[in-house]
Amino acid sequence: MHTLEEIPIGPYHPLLKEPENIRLFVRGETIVEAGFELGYNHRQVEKLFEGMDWYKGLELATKICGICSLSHGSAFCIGVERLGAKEPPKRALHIRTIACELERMHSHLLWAGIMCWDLGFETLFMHSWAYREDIMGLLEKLSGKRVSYDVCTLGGVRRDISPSLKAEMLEKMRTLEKNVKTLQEEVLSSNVAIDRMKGIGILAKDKAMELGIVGPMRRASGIGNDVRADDPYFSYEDVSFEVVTEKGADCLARTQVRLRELLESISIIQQLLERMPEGPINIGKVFGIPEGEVCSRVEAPRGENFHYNVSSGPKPYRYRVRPPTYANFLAIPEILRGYQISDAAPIVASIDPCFCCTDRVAVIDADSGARRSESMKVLAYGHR
Amino acid sequence: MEVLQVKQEAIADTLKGYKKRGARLITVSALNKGNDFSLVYHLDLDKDVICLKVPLEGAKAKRMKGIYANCDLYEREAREMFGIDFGEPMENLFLTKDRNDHPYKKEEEHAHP
Repeated sequence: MHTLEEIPIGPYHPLLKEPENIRLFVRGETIVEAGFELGYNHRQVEKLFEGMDWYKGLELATKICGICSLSHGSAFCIGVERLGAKEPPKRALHIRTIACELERMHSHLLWAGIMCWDLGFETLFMHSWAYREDIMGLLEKLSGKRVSYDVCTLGGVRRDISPSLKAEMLEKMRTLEKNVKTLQEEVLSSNVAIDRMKGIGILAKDKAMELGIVGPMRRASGIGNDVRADDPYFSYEDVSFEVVTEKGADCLARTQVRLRELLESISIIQQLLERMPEGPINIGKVFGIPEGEVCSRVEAPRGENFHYNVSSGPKPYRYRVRPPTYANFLAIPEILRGYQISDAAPIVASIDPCFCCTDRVAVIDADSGARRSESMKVLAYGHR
Repeated sequence: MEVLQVKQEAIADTLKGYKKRGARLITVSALNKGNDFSLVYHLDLDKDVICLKVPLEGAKAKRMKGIYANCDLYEREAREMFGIDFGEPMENLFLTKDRNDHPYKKEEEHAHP
């Protein structure tokens, strides 16, 4: 066979969260090479920071992502508070940590649903998203919003956890623990699901290190890096938790890492709620941020979220954001190469990025390099 | 966090040294004041963040993707957003292919801290 066909996946797809374009170069059913294009959702956020004071900057930071908005808000607050030597009260740090773990749980459950959908398990997709609703409800009660929840403010948090909300959270955690264990059992006891994930999309440990992969992807390749343990922030030093790793380095290992992390998050929230300190939840309006530069990082649901803030005093002079998915995109060619087209959906979903489908296939003649497009009709019926 | 100033001619050897010690490259940031450009290499070494700040001469830099493979994306972004010349043609990563301006590049009047 002489033709190398290009299958573009993206930039828009209803299943995942953001528009991207992933290109598969296939010969027959085998993926020979893969590439990607970014920028379909590029809003020049880093530039927008430069015109804003610190409070407006915080609002912008929480709007960078709808799924892990708090991880950006947290990294922003950590940086500005370090610059201004402002220490939030202990109770505020506990509330921030609880909210961060709620965010990780809703993100992992959202991902689990999408992964199940891609594997053809629509019932599990619905179960997973139903469990997620409990967390969305708690986030709404804590912050007032289901998404883009501004829990953090500079020097603390905006809202307290009332005794009734604390009791509700503890009760929901008990229910969620049971539900997550059921979900784990259902996914990992299904031979069909395991066959579609095991040995697929392997990212070897040395490759993950070489490419600087972060988060659950890194931990599924057997590398135990987690910012919460490596460079603790908020109240993570006050709780005990396991940095979950797996050695399989495949889609199954990534699934296991995320499902086990859900249970760790429940445990962290329970520990923090039981040891909630009394006191104020913020230090009031924060003034007088000096010139200087600071780095801050947090463990977002998808991995290390890194912010670099160069301050001119009243506002950022330069603000740099390196979110985890950006770092993990380099793994895409690595984990797709050599697998079948039908494996592409679970492999790409296992990164937990956003990918999309499109309505045509470009066919490249490997000898001449000529390119032509095919319509949906050709794809559906196999003839022009 | 530690910020170290590194001369442009020494950055390749410095990065190689850090890589030998097990440092991971987190990202590369570019910044400028008028025609004064610099690149900052952020590394994670023993769970601590180290920033290597490299002032550039004439907005020109060498590619470091041979040392850290993940430099590739960040260098492409620095060229695209700030116009830093890495001595080889690179396609835009975020902006459309036909766009040649550098939106993050600042004019002279902005004060540098």
